[in-house]
Amino acid sequence: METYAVSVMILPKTGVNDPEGDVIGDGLRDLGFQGLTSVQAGRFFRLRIMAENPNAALCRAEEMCQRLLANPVIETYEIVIDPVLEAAAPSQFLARVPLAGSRTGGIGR
Amino acid sequence: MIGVISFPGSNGDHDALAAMTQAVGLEARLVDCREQDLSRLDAVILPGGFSYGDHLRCGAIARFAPVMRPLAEFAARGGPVLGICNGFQILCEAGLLPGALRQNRTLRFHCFWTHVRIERVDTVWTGLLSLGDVAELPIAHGEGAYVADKATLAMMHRNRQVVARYGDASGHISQEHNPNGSLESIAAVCNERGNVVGLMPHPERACDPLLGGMDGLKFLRSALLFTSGEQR
Repeated sequence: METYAVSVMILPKTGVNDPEGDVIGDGLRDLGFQGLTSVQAGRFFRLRIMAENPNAALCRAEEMCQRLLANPVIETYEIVIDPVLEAAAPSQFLARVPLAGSRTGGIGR
Repeated sequence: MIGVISFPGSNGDHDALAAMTQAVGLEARLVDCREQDLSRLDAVILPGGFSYGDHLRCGAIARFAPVMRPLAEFAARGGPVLGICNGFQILCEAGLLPGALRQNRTLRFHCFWTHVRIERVDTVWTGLLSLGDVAELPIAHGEGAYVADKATLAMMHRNRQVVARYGDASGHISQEHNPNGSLESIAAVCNERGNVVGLMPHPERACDPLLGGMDGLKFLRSALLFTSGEQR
């Protein structure tokens, strides 16, 4: 058994109204970002799944999407599977460099 | 006996209970969401509110409450079920009604009076209304935009599953009077058989002149048609 890091991205289906995405898009345009043609707002889950192989982890994640994480009537999903590196001691995580994007130095915009 | 299900986060359960007992005059009781025997009820109402804090999606978690399995059986036997607002969202998430409810087009929580035009009268909850009747009912929701894919909508048209649409006071349907961006201004739908109805506006909050209107009674009084000899 391996542990896999599973990223699940849920987005509204094409054609389903996405007022949140639209408003965020308007905000980005107001900030002066040009060339932005669309924004979709969705939801992101990071799961850890123990499975025999990546395919088994993918199948399990897909079933989770079908049955709960997404509403297939209005949403689509995308699943990305990565192997989890050897279990790290908690201290290693505490010392981890922040994810790119959160390391902007101080507060502000 | 009418059962009104209380989920953690329901806030329209006591309103629905009061409407059924005081305004309609029927026996009604709250049903805890952990109850598993609905066999002695004549009808079940899923009330408005924010069950389970609206986590994940509105109604997505309530689907797992123990009461939902017997509710599905109750509905399959033809038992009358009415989902109001959050109750409508729960019925959609549970697959007892087609489609889904998304965020309002405006992204705002809307709380005001609307008019709905009745499109189907042979459901258990619209039996006392006439086709084309206009009812004035309040809405109070952030996720009330009804959505269904083309195939589902076509099926709903074939089976006449649209029960009510938002419109103006004379029953004219237009985008201007569509408060949330619902597909085809849909405010209420039913299952094929017409015994399960989901309604986004709140009939239970329009059952007394003090509340500003009485039109909700037209829906809830339909219960008199399928209950017998137990009026208070």
